Amino acid sequence: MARPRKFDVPRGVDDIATAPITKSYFHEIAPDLSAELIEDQFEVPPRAHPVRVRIRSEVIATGAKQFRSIPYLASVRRRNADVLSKMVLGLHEYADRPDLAVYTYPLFSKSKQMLELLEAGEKEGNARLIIRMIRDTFMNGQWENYRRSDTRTVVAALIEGKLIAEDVTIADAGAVFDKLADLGFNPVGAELPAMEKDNEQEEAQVPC
Amino acid sequence: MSKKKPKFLVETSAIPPALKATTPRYTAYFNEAIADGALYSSLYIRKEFMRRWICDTIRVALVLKQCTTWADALVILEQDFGRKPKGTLDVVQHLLRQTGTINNSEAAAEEVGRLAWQWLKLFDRVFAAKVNNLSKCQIGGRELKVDGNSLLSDLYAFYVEFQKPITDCEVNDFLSLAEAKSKARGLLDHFEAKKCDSVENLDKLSANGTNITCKECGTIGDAIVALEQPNSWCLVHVDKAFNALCGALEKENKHIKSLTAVAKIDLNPDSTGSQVASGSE
Repeated sequence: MARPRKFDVPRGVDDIATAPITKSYFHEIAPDLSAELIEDQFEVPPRAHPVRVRIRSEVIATGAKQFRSIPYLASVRRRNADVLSKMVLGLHEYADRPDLAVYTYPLFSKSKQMLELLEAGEKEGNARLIIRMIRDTFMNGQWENYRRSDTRTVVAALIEGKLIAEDVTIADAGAVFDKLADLGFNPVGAELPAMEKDNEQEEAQVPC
Repeated sequence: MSKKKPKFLVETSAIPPALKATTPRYTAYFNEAIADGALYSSLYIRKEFMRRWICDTIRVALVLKQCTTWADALVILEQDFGRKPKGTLDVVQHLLRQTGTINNSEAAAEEVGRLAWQWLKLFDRVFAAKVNNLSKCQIGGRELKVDGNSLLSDLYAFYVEFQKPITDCEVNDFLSLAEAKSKARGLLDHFEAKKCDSVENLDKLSANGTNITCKECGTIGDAIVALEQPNSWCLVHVDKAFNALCGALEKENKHIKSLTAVAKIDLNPDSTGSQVASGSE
């Protein structure tokens, strides 16, 4: 009779028929959060008595966690802000072109990408406020302001000064709001709806 | 000697073009109407601005945060709000589409929430100068203290606090409805003014001897704004009720056209710009 194959059975156990079987699996989550499948199979040899099979599965998230950590997201913000700042200064090449709007598109996309990258950052809320204000300057015809060299210089300096800092505060966001408004931008980026009266009839109004 | 700039008190309905937060065409029309005048507000008008725009925006942001998609939120908001904030919902929807956040309620809620902070900041920037707070409004000067890292929680705290009515407001003394010769009483007796909703509401409150808290004050806002207007200021408004209110109080006013009316002007080039209420200029 063929001897049953040994499987995770501790050596030196006399009664092989009752020794428990343990099998461990480790799921290490990758930084890109991609899904993976672990498949395995094994045979439990025939026994005279029931045998306990213990399956142990462990999810290891350390690797993924570090890519959502406060220091890591701050470094992502600083790296991207540096790129965005240089892109703003680079607009001088196109400042006199009638199709300037086309050349501000990559800056708009970069701002949107930064918002997506920092979305999970619980300490990046003030940075996101600033990035949204900067993004809005590339929308709804506001890009025309970038024809002026002082606008490009000031916005690039704002990005460097406020987004490449260690911590971004609400005071920084407020300062960016004021500077952009001084440059002639509408830093809100959305129109204020016309007033709708609670209980008074007046001439029909449509939203902005 | 240089001519003194005219002083305009911008009523709640005329705030969007004054903030340049509307269509470029409407903003241009407004700028032409006020020429080079200086713009003023009041704490009471600021209170109305917060009640109508800031609180509505916060409400939309918080509902959005609790829904999976904008479509889900829209159903709830339309049910809750009724027709009133249709403009706000349209603006929000447009913004979310434009910024690509319409399918991500987490990002969308933040996108909308920040509007509340920025709109109020813009208001305070444009209307740094304010007329005296004669009605002694206690909530019009409130600060919206937020931190970007806890934006929605901070907006929630502001909203909740703002909804609590002040029960010992001095607006009752300001109106002096018991005095036969008070200006508020004059509005109640004026042939044209008493047809306005705010004056009708004031009349009911007076007849019932109701203590006016923020809840009741919200229904008589137009009357309070008109009563607070200093004599040497001109009130700029879209809401036509102020023609009667200012007329009754013998105060200068400028009735500007609504957004829709200005859009129609462009289709009819023969139309003129703003119309000034009779006897105001």
